[in-house]
Amino acid sequence: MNCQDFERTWNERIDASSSPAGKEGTSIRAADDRRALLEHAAACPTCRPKAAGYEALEAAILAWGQPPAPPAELANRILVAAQALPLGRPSLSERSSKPLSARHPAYPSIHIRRTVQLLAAAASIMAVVTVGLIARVAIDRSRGRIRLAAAITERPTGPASDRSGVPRLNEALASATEATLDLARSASEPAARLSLQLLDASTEPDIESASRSSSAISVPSWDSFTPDSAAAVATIQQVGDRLASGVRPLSSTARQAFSFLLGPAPPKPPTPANPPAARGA
Amino acid sequence: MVTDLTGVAGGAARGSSEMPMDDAALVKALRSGDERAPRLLIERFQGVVFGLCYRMLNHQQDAEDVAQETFIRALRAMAGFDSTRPICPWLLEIAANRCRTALARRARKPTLALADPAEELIDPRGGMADPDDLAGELERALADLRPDYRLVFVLFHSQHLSYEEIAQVITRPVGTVKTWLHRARAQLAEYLAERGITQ
Repeated sequence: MNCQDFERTWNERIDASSSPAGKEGTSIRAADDRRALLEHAAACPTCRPKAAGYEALEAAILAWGQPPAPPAELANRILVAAQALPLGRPSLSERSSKPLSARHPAYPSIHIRRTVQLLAAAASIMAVVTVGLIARVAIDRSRGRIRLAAAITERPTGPASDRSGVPRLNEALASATEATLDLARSASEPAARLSLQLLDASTEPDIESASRSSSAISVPSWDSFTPDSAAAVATIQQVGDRLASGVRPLSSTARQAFSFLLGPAPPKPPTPANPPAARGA
Repeated sequence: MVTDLTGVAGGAARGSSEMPMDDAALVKALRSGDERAPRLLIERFQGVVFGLCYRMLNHQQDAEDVAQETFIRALRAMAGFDSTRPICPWLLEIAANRCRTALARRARKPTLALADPAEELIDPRGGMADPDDLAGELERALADLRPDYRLVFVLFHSQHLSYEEIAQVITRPVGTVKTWLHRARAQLAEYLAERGITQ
């Protein structure tokens, strides 16, 4: 018998002594096994303390006995605890015949659910009323802005609305647009004349000739000035001619500064490469 | 007490004068809402379940609590139980899982929770132990074992289940059951030898 057989034989022996059939008595094979175990334990110093431990374990298992019986009230206590909790899925008939609160005590009763529903409905109504008030205030503010715009244009607001006399939104918008166009017309024509005078003053040698030449350019009126009209084309042509005739030769400084506009730059002379000996010097 | 996993014998319907009901009929009664069925289930299997819990936890109150939790879980899960299976291995499986959870919870508790000397599971005395208190020495040695080893040892030596039945309860192969049981015995024998327990 080796050490591995020693362990296996002890386990088989304890298995047999723990089974009901093994407790009836020792067989001849068990006696032979015990003799072989004792011989191996006497010869093997490693297994000798194990043999003492297995013998003690065998006796301890026999002395262990049965666990105590459960207390008498345990069954009732478990039943009470089980009834206090919802147990599993109810059957189909139970689901259809009883309300949920009756099947599961943890589920809120019908009174609580109705109270919650009423509170939810009240909250919804409050939310709708609040949103309506906010929308009403916003509409009133926008109407006030429209009235203010109509007053600024100082024009008759046209036919009043049917009930309150407040101009309609489209009428106020049309009036504001017309006022904006009038303002643009009144401001653009003097600005164009002033621009021409400034242009002549910058290109003519003296002011008298500038005043003469400016009178030579006819600025069309705003009404006749459309981008593709003959008057507009003639005006642009006159401005171009005056500019071309008044151009002075550029000074050397200006020519040097704007030389990149005159033509391609001359090629740079090749820079001499540093000799390797000069590196790091 | 020899446990019969079929559930019919071995304490079936103890205290009831009616004919014993087999597992399938009991499951059917439970599912149909029979008011007597939960009590019948508890009375039939409370000894097995409580015995396992007591051996695993080595504490009366904890064992009662875990046994109660086991039956409540079983009753709640009865709708999904395969009625062709025997009930007892299923109940023992639930109880074993609950015991493991309780042991893990106990291990997380601070040491001050075991301030009562009566609840000390390990004998603080060193040297030679009382040779007459073999059962006490064995219980103290069991407290040192891994929960898996302890469970297999208890199921074999206290609940008297076979290797195959233990494998069914712990949902592990039979070879694993044998390995765990042999390792448990070797560790227990080593503990007893170190404590000077000899026969």
